[in-house]
Amino acid sequence: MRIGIYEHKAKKGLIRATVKVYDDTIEVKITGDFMIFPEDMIFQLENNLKGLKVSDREAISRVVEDTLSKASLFGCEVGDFKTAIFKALDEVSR
Amino acid sequence: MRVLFYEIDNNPYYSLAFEESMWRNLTEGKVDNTLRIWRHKSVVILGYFQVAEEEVNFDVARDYKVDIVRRFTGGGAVYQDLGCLVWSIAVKGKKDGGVEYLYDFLLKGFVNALKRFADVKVENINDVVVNNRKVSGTSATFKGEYYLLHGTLLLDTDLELMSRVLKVSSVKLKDKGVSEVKYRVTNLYEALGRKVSTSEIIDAIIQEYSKLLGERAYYDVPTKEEIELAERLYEKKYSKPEWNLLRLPSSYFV
Repeated sequence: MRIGIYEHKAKKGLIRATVKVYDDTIEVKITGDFMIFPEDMIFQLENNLKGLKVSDREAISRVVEDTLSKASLFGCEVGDFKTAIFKALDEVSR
Repeated sequence: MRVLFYEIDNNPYYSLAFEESMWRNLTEGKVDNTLRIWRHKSVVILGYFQVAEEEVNFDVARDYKVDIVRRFTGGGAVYQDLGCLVWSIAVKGKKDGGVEYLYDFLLKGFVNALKRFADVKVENINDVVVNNRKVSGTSATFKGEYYLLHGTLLLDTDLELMSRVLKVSSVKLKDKGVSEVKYRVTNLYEALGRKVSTSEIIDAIIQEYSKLLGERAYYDVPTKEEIELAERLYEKKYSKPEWNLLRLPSSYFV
């Protein structure tokens, strides 16, 4: 298992993505002081990302967009979550 | 508008369980719009998406007997002691009002109350600022036409302990251009350069929310159902280290 962590500061709130890679699939955990409604959409996002191929950034991007399109974000945008996750993935491959 | 002075200052775990119970009773239409005024002895309260070890210096928390409790709303960690006033406003409001209803409308009651004592500005959407110092932090949630906004007001809190017990991310420090958390956050008394009576502040908050909502304020005690649900939530969720420290979803604890 390899691990990558990245902290991204959105307009309001910090989004910290922790990505674990098992063989070639990912598991993502998103922590921080951001705000999203309904709150449990974050756990939904983590579930939806689980098992995606580490190399398939297009699929990862699509899952983030699709899942978060159902949520209201406050002080942050869908792109902030993508940035945090992708930069954490970059950290894994370093 | 119901006004609850309901604090269990030495058991923040139960106090937060009650907060969730109050919110759930409101969303089930069982209680009137409610303003709650409360405090805690010495506690770090984490946001729903936060992991304790990322936010709290455990050695400081242990040495100073600071409890660590996680709330059911998002946002950041706060340190609270008896010098910090906590307020919650839970209402049935505009349909589909969303985040705007919370911060463009509901926050006004608190800000208007503070304006009676200080030159208050709201910056960066919801930072309540007096003389360039942040004296309050808020968090919120909503469900359909129901809204909860709760926040702190630092009056006389131990800022030294606050800055030691809370970890501040280096990314955030860089962004805000400050070297330590204590330089940006301050007590209202310090920002004003004088003391204000706590009961005057509480009266102002009650009056301004009564005005904002157009409802007469009446003093009340928690309902039997609120207490029963709070006790259940305390037992199954808020008293558990897994809830407080590990960022598990609420659904794990039913």
